[in-house]
Amino acid sequence: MTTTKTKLAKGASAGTLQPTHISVTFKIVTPDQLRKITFTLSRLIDSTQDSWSVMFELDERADTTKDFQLVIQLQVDVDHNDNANAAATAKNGMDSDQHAQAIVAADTAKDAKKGDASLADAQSDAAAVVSARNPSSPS
Amino acid sequence: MDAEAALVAASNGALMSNNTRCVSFLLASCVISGAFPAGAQTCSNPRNTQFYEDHHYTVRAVTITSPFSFFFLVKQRFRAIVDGLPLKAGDPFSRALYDAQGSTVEEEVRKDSALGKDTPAKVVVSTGGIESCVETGDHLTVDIVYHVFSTDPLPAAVASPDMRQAAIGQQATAPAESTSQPDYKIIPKLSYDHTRRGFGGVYFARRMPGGVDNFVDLSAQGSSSSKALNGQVHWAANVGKEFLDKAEFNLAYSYTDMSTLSARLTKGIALGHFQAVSKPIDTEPARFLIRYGAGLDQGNQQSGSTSIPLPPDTIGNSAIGSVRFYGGLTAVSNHFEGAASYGLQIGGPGLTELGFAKHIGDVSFSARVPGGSHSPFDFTVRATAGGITRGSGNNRIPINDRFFGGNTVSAFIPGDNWTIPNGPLVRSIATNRFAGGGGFGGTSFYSLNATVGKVLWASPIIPRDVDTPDFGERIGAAEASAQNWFADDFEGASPFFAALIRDVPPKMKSDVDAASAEFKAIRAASPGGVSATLNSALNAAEHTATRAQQAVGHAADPAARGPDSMSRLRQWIGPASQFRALAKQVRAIKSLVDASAGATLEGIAASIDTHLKDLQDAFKSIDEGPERAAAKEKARLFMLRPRAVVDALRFEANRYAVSLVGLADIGRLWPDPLGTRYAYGFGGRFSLVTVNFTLGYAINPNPHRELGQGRGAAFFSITYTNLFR
Repeated sequence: MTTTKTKLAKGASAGTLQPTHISVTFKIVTPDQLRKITFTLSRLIDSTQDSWSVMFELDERADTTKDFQLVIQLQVDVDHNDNANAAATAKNGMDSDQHAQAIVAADTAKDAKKGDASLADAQSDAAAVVSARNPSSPS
Repeated sequence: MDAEAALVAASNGALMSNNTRCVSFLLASCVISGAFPAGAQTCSNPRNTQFYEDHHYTVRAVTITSPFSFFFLVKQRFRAIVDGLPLKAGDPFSRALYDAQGSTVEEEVRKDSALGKDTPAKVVVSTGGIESCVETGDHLTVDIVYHVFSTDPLPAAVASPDMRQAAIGQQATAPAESTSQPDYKIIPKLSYDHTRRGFGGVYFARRMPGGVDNFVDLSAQGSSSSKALNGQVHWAANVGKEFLDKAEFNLAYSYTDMSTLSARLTKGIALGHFQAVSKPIDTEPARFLIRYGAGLDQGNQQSGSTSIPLPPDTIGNSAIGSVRFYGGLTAVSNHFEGAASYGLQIGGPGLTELGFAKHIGDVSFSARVPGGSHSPFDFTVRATAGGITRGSGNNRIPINDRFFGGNTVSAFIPGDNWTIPNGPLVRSIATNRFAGGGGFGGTSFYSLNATVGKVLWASPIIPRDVDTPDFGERIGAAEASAQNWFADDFEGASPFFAALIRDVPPKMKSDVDAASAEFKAIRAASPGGVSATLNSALNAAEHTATRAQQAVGHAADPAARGPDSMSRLRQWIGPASQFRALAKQVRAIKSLVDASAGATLEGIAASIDTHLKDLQDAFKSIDEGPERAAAKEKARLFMLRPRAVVDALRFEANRYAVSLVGLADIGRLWPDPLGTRYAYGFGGRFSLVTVNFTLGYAINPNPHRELGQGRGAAFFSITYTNLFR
């Protein structure tokens, strides 16, 4: 086995975790308790990449006494140009425009499940939750 | 520094380099010190995980930590997640597996609602990395650590006022039981009291079919000088009305046998009780809960011997029966909790001979000063008073219904979570050794109890060096998301939007229909087929038109929630709007067709633009008007409690704390020629999150040896601090 001796990396201090995975999940159950929208922003950081991705999930039920059923789950890589919006969302939360886009993304996800929209449409609308951030919202 | 730069800097640890062991929001979990072995070593390439695969490192440990790991169930869930991960302790480090399992951990935690199923809003933050690398020697190892914060367990940490007694009595298991709903439980019991001596027993409960809150329970306790046996069948129903949110019914049997100075009190009764709790009434300063109930009991009682000279208004051996009514109000705020209760019992030697009325009032107030600190002073004051009045004639009071007192007193409603003391509490005097007047109890009483504590040393759940500005930012983001979501939802319920939802979709549908018709006309005008460029543009526009029609259908769906439809309309004016895309595509096609068709297309695009502009203006008007302001205020109020819970977690909750406690009691029974009793004392308190174990000694400054009183009494209590209100 190779024995390796290395110097302390710049910026690293003993016991300090420098994360390579960060994710923030927002889950909202609508007040009628029939729809659950989950939106996860994930960031992967290492020496070769710094990328964001979005997981969007829609669950529904017809009756509040029943368990939620998964309608669709989408995993989308965030366009590099949207990294600032992704960071702003992780830092300040979702704004009203992103909320609106999330509702529409849920509709499209359901349409895709029924064959009324394509998977690409659903992925596009899910990714747009990040880009829909209003420019006047906090960055 | 812009947002992205700040985040990167934070992620690199540059913003928190001084005394922070962790980087971001969830690193609150660093408090779980087990994740950080003593003498932890650094990793020279924390962001270049390929390095550790290339140099044949072995995984030493895989750990998930959380501020809520003190919940056994949470810890158990994390252990199960770790067991299911592809990289385990002892495996060669693999970058591919490591990258893959980061999202696995996040997904498992996100999906796991074991301690908070279907809460209205949930936030999960997960961070993973490597640390404690051993980079010298023959055994090169790396630790994989995930820090997880999920709001799921918070509801389990919040004891509603009606559940607080359960949280006191069964603090170790109450949170898990609140969600895991065990079929049965068995709890051994062991206690000591001067009057009862050492006594032991067991509590057994079995859930019944038909509802999670329906159960049957049995408890038995005994010692050389006392016995207690209780059995109960309990039904609960969630009614969901404002003043009748939850109803409970109990059928119970209770048997007690316990001595006083002069008599041996034995009582066996069958009880039927109904209790109800209102929905919590939320106001800005506090959350209120109303509780009320009524019951009927019948049984018999003895005083030990027929030769005992009882007071003339008292009967020793007889049947016993009563009807009871009680009600109460609890107010809970961030840093104080108050409760007021009143109980009325109309009783006598049997239900056919109801001849006395017992009234008890009880008020308690507790506060923490300063609020929002990890080491506050805390005060608790409780005042209780009661009296028994006899009706006219020769009505007598069963001796078991008189007031006795001491450092423990019976409950006015046996078996109920809501405790109304049935006698004076003075902590320097043993149970049932309070009474003068021959030791047969009194017919009226009062007691006043004060307890003050000061946290001397505490270990916050989220250490101060973790609760950095970055940590607060992530929490703020989560709270802002939820609050804004609810503000949109409340705003969307405005009647103004009902008009928009009625008027706008038909106009947009008309535009899209016109565009679709024109696309068909363009295709029809070229029987040999349109050019490849035009065909491609038409295909894209037709697809967008189809999606726009679907958007109209969703927004106009009468079965859809109004607030959701409002959000759909808001999306139409956003950058991902299908209508904006359609207008753009229509104009692109215009340049590929003849002038006549182009003019038609321009008219359609202009109409879309006009309608979207009108919609945008309508939103602007509403967003800047009183509707939005009112919705934001409502959402702010809606989020007060969740924010308070998170704030309590950040600024108040301790993993454990050590406090100094002082107490003072005053109590009086009538008739009693020996006057007022006192207690003062000191003790120490050890707190585990919200449960306090207090041990101390209360001095009796004026002991009456003839009543069996000593110089004082040791006391031990378990109380609950309602941090997460």
